[in-house]
Amino acid sequence: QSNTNSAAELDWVDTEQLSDIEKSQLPAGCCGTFVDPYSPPADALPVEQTPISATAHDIQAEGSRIIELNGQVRLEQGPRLLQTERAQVDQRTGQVTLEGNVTVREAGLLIRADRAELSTSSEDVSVDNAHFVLHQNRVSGSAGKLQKFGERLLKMQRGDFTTCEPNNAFWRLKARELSLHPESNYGTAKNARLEIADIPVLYIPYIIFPIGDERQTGLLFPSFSESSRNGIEYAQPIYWNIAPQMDATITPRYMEKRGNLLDVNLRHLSSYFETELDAGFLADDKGGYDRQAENDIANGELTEEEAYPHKGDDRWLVQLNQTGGAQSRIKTVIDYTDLSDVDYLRDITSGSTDLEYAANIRKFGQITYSGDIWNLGLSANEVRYLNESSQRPYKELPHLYANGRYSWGDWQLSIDSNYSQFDLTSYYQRPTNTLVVGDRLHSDISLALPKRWQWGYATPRIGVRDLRYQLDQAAVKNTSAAAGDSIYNTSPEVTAAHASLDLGLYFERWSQFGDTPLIQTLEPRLFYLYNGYDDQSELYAPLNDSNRALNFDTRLFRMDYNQLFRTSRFNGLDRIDDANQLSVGLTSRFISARTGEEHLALSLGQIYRFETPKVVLNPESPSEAFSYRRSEYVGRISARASERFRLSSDLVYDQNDHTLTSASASVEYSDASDRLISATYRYQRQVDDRASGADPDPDLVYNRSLDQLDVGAFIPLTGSWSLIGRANYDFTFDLELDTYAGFEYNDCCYRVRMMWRKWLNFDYNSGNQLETVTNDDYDRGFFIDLQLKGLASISDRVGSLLSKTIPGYAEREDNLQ
Amino acid sequence: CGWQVRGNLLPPLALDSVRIASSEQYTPLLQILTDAFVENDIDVVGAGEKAQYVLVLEDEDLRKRTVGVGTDSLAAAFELQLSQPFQWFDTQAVAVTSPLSAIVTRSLDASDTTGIEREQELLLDDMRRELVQQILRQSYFQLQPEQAAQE
Amino acid sequence: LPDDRKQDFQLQANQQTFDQKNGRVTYTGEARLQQGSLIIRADTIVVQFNQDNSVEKITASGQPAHFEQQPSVERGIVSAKAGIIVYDSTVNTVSLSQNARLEQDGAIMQGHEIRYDINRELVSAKGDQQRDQPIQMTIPPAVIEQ
Repeated sequence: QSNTNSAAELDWVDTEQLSDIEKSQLPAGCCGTFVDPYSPPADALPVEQTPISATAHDIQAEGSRIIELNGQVRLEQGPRLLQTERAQVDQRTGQVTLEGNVTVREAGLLIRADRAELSTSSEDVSVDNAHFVLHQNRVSGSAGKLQKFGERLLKMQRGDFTTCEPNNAFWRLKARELSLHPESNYGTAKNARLEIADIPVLYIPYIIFPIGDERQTGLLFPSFSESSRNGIEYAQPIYWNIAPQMDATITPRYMEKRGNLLDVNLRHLSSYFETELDAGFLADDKGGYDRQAENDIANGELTEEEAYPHKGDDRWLVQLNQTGGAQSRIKTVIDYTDLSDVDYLRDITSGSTDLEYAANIRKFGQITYSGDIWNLGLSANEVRYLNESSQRPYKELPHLYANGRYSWGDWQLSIDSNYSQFDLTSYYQRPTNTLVVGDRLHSDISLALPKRWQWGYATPRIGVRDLRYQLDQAAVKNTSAAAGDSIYNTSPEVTAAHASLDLGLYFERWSQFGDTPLIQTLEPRLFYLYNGYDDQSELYAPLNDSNRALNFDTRLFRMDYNQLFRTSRFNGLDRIDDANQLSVGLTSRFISARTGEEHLALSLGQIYRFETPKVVLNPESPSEAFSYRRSEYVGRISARASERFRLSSDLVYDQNDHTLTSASASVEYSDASDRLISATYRYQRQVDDRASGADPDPDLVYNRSLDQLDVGAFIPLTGSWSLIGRANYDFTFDLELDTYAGFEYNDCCYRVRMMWRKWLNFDYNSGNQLETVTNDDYDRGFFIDLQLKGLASISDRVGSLLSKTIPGYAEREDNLQ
Repeated sequence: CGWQVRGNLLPPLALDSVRIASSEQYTPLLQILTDAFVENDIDVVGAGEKAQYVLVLEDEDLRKRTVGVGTDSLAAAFELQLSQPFQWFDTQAVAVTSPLSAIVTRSLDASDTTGIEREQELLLDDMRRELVQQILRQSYFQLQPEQAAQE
Repeated sequence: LPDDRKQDFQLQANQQTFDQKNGRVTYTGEARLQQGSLIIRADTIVVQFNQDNSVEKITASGQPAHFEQQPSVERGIVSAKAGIIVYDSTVNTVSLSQNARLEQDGAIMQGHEIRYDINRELVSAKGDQQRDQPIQMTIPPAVIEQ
């Protein structure tokens, strides 16, 4: 082994000597990079067709066979440059032997060695005691014997490589056989040993690793994590690149307190469809550990089986997502999720849904056609609530819609029709004797005369809405009580006319903020809405008096700025609501006169009701908010300053009760030095709809106002250190939902993230769990993730957690690769 | 205080024809954008034809985030952030503007998820109208630098 | 060719001057010498004779002087040029200096000094160490019969 080459000999240039452009491309935490001094002639012909142009102190040519060159020998052949002390070229066989301080250079590749053999008629090179550098991939290393085949493939015996700086390599992968394919961005190693700070850490018989970012067939890097619920977890992902458009990641995952889970992710891309299948299967679950369950067993509240309901079960998850027809008028969507039990997502935190407190999963399929006039659609949808107590009774299969837009001159005819069949879903576990099922046809035909000018618009619209049902009693389940017989009209029908007038004006003036010229706009908007009233008492007790009010998929919109200009109070189609109201809205925007970017937009509005609406969803609980002549004030603020700052906020103030009904604000700040700060606040006042004095029904979730703040931050400090933190706090119940704090050390070729996390270990079926949270309901975990840049990351869990909870972090991760 | 009806301060966007090159076809946003151009007397030509400018749209990106947890410790409110990257090119496919983006954020109550899919579609439709307005406004100033900063 | 040395010399030039005393003949002005396939063209050629009247050494100089010979039937012609070309007949070697250039079968060598040993078909060249001028050489792609 020749003396260890100094960094400079490996084309390593420290930051100070780098040009500004090179400095800008420097990855975070690095204090230099490999700069390739050699750039072959652009039109270099392949090696075997190019003569060698050589220079040396002295040259000896014996006949036309052997040529010997001595003294600062330099051989240039098309894309390749060879430098050495002595060289011997056999013209007939094309064999070239180099000895003494040998350097082989190609674009982006450097090999230094004592001795090298190569042929003038091919790209192959064979070298002893070599050091090599792949400039673009920032990879450097050495090898007892190195062979280069064709364009770029490097095969090495007793080789090692790292992406760290040459003279202080934090990690190094050594292997008896190591091969690098920089053109296709991957490498393989046999009998590999990972050394961190020169200490052997991991022995791997065979491994495939990415040099660039694409994933390659083979063993990916194992990932480790620990949690009180599942104990030690070790996952060994295997990536299988089946075909150019199809790949699979099979991940056997050992969980100390549960057993072995097999997780398969299959992705397929065709010219029409993009499909992803995720499946997980855990045989004979050992139950895991739940401190709360242990307490319940200890104090006799629950037996072992009740505390650990899934012990011994086979548990599985299937998720299919497919979208089709990106380029075509006919588009398809499949979003299908099914589970062995609702607790799967909480217990086996493989997917990311657990981080979003998912409330429900769905089985959904849809095919749509978007024509120039008609948009048609056919879909089926069944929603399963993970909190079984709030499960809705109905599934919608099929749902057909046809929306048409005809226009002649200024006139515009709109036809919207929706046909759905509703039936009971198997997931509904409450008595069904008071429920009805059946088909619903809702249509809305309207004629409009939209007038538009530069300074404003006026859109009168008149139309009629029709709602008709074909009902019968639902099958009786989960109860011994019998269903009443159908004494009322089984095909109720409701029809009502509607009219609206939408007026808007645009005013503008010059304005200024600092030195940026702005245009400020003032946009008043009046929206008069008249919906005719038609008696809908038939729907309040459809088939007999014991029937619950008919409601397949409808509830009241919550009041906010969007609601001002909507034509209905309900988000579903089960009512034709009456209305006689005037909405007034005023928006002012501050637009940059240079870029047209909207820096600030302020909106304020209110609805003035000429009559109190009569149609309700459920006669027993009419919401008295509508009895007031004037609705709450609704406001919206949105601000944006280039890519760095964004704010959006909605406010609803109830002047009748002199209280704030709801306020939400989300602020995101990110700047050039990678600081990310985001704060999201949400307040939603909810009147407690329990009759005063009545004791709470454990099954029901009572409305308590929601008052939560979620702050996330990523603050780079000096050097390569950064602070990470998140606090998600609920003020109503004074408890932390999810809190973590930690740091990231980002060096040139590795990154360490350490984090302590305390998060609420929610149980789907505990009703209003936040009211009864005790210290035992929290899970605590210590996460550590060591990422060897260019090789792999030990645990992918940390990355996905940060990307999910700190907005902007995911984008930062993408451009970090 | 200098208020004037729109149209007096600045002349309308002087553009007669546009071709839209989008990574995905027949999307709701494309429909709204095409209508908006037509309303501003700018005709939208088909794929093969020549146009004064070409508007290149990348995929619409929807980021949905849980921003509120209900008493049942499940998601009670979502924040939808819809962004549409776009860029203008001339007929020789030379970039006329830098890569731009329109972005809009709305929150969606989910304490009771009945009918939330239809509600989300209504909200997204409203957000797409807002995106189209932002695209038109930014294009107004980016394509006509002489209008910009007249002051 | 191997039998070049048996052939006699043909010489022509604009002028010839004899120097009996030193056994030397100098040809100047488009001087040309031929012996079989060996041809030398230069401004001036000086032929030095031994006592036994055989040719000892030929020195040609020119801007540049040219040298040509076919070493054997199957080999390509060796052609060279340099400021000064000295052909030492006794040891059958040619020395070229002052930006010498020698070409054979596509292989071109250029440099300060080149020596060509015809018998052993050995060409060697030395760079000029002081002025750090290396020797340049173009080696043609090996024509290998697959």
